[in-house]
Amino acid sequence: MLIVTVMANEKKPGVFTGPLWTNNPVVVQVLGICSALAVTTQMKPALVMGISLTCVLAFANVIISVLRNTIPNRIRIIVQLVVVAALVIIVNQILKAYVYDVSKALSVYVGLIITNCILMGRLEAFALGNKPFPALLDGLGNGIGYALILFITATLRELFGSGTLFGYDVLARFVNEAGYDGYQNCGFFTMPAAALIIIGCIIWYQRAKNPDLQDK
Amino acid sequence: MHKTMNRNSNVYTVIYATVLTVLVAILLSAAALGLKDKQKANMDNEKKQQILQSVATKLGKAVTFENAADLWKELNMDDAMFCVNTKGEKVEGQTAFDIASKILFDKGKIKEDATLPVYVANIEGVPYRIVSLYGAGLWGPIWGYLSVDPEGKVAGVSFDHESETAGLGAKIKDDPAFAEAFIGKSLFTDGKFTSVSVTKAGKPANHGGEKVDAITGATKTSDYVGDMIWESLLGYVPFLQGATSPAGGCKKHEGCKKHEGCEKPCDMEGCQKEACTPEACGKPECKAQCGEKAECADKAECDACKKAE
Repeated sequence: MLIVTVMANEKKPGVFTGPLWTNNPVVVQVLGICSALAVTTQMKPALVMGISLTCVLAFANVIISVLRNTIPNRIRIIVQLVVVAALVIIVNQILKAYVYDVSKALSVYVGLIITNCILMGRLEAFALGNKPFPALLDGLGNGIGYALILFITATLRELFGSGTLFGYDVLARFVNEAGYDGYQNCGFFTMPAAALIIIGCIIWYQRAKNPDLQDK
Repeated sequence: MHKTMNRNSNVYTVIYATVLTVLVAILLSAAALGLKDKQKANMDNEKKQQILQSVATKLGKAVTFENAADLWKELNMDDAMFCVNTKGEKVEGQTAFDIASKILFDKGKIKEDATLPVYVANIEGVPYRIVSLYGAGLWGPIWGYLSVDPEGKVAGVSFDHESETAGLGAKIKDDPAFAEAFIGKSLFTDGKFTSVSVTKAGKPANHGGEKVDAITGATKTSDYVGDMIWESLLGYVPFLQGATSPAGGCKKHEGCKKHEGCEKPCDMEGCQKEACTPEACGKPECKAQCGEKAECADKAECDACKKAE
């Protein structure tokens, strides 16, 4: 169902720049919403997730693109899944041996990366039908587009939900300097529903600015 | 190959799937086997860091992933660990460090026959006994280490988790203020184990005794931390009490003939009776005991002893 939507949305406005905004995977293709709710309570995990997904998506896109002429049509989804899962697990194993703290930070997201629908969406819609280099650009573009939305959402959620940015106290200090007594955290922003509303607002803004995206 | 063979034929599909699976399996096994030693070293180092983290305030410095191994050597921790059973007796033949806390539990309760690891950090002459904690969190397992000073008070804690929510439940590890709140809390009230509970601000402790305020927005994870401490320490109570509470301590009755050397927490009544039987009355050791000790365990015998004198 989702994959059909993605294919219908394929307008090719520039393989790399398109997904950053006009064909953004989150707010236009509406993919990866689940993880956009899960990892955006704070900026650090959002950034880590954004970077990891960009890397995995770029690699997976290239691999599937290289294999695209050999993959049997009937089991293509399974093949994509195996490639992605193997890729993520091997990378995590290497990190665990050589950069242990990074692997610790990522371990929570491994499951989220493998099951992220942006991955399957891009592999299905782009990598299976294009050469490796455009596939690499497409992977990078979609990954960064996803990271961008995550980052905006996480900034708002952390700022109002905890009064901090990257863990540093910002809002409380600002409020104190303005002469008021402390900042009361808005608990709603730490809940997943807040992410949905923020992403909804981004979609609203984008549609209002760009009538092409509006449903006729 | 794709030009000569029909990509949609069953044979091609099956062969493709088989080759892919075998290839991926080989890759994954190679990665797992080849990197095993390095990963094990990293995990051991992390465990050392977490164990020492629970006495970080006593050490007066932060314990990091980098300095953990050096500190471990400095404190001679390899020789300062042992195992105890749930009765508080030392158990030989197992290396405390190799015991995974996970296997000590059955459905959230500590097993009766569990062998529990104990690490002793001697810092400025004070032995801090570090015990291992393990339990269920909101999304996955949580674990940690808790150090106890000779008076039965918490000297420090360190927590970790597998997948608690970043910014909320994950604060049990990330927020130093949460761990600091445990320091100085007594695990015992009038000689009874009451643990340290974690409850919402303003709410009383779960088992009597002392409490720590829950993390705002992470009440569930905080609850689980309290449960973990209670459940995990239940197995350690005989061991901890044997060396902390005055009643069970061997040091208090030095005249004890029965348990010389005092390896086990000795039974006070049995100890007194041994030297203070009617037959023994009048003997020097009996006089010394009955005459000097006001709180003799067996009053009747003590009185009889005094009369005889």
